Amino acid sequence: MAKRSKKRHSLHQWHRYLGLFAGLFTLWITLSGIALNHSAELAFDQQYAPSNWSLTGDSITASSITAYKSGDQWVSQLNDRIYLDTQEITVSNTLLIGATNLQQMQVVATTDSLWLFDHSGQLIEQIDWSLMLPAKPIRLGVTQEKRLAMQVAHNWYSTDESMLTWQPIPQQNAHIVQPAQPPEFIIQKLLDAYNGKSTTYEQLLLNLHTGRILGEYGVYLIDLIALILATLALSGFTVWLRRRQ
Amino acid sequence: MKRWFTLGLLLLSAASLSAKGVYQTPEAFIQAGFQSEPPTQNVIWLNQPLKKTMADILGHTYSGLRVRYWGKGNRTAWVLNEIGKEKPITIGVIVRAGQLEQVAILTFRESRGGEIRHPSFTDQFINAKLKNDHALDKPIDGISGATLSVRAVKKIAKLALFLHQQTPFSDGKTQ
Repeated sequence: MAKRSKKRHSLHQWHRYLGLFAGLFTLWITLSGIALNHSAELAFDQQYAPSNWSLTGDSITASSITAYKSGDQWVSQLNDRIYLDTQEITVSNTLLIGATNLQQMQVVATTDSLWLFDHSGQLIEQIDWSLMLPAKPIRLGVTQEKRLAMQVAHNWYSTDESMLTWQPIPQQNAHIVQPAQPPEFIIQKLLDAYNGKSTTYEQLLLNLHTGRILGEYGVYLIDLIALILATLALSGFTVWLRRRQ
Repeated sequence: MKRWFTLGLLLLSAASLSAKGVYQTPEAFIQAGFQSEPPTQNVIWLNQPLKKTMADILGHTYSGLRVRYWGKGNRTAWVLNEIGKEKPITIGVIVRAGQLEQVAILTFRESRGGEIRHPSFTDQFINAKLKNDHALDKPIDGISGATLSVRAVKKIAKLALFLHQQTPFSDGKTQ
């Protein structure tokens, strides 16, 4: 009987200490979870946290920028943002593979789409490559006749003036568009613009909720808290059951 | 006990199901829709009056100055995107002589509302026409839990019918 009582006391103690330890984190997880649940209503997904709050561990530097000189302008990609000079013109999760200035349009190619913009950055059209080419292109070029050309696997295709139909062409007819280093003022403006709009409050809350805010070990800490909470449920149930007996 | 366990398993499996995915590539949609007669690819440039009507239909401004489509005879095909709740749904529409011939969900990116991809929903659009007030001339039953996705498909169906009227294929004289 005394042994049983000692065992119950020990379980009680464990339950109490685990509860105290997890309590603080539970508050953290609960509050961030409630805020996340209402992030759309509170527009947390549209408001950006100050750059020094970023806390995502990602470091954005000039080497993160891919850029192409397109006529008198620059088309650049920094993470998922695409810029015409320093103006953000679209968001794409796929890689920028080239940009050129044709028929008074800025032709921007990402791995999944062809984007056409006017010189003020207004979108003219976005079209999926699968509707035009046999596979996703890997490189952009321009023919001697100033037509858009794309490399698909080992083959090259060029399009007509309206960019509606595509025909195979010999590789030597295409002049490949190469990436280049944009001027320093553009790099600096992009970095400033990106850092000021890099993390939404929703992302910040998500990082807080999942523990990523503390780096990769933060996730394991939250895992541990989750396991402790599960243990608390079991130990609480066991204590209750034993009391009834 | 066994009953509760089974119920728990069912709930868990239902929660893990996601309707996200590419159901048909735009290319396959066009090919399937024009099997015997390959269509020509065309564009409509959008002037201010067109953009205004499109904005009325969509409830927001259309981001683009031209729209690509495929046409043959009196039929046109459209591959258009519209946001359901948060992410764009890619929808394929074929219009024949001012009536909807086919509506298909090509890519669904939202986590909820994927039921709109089922033919039991999309087949309701067949033969629907556009009324003068840019509404569909037949009722479309919604799906509970997929209200925003249903709304997005209706908007695109109306938009495709409106854009079809702007093409030379609307009178069936263009080959």
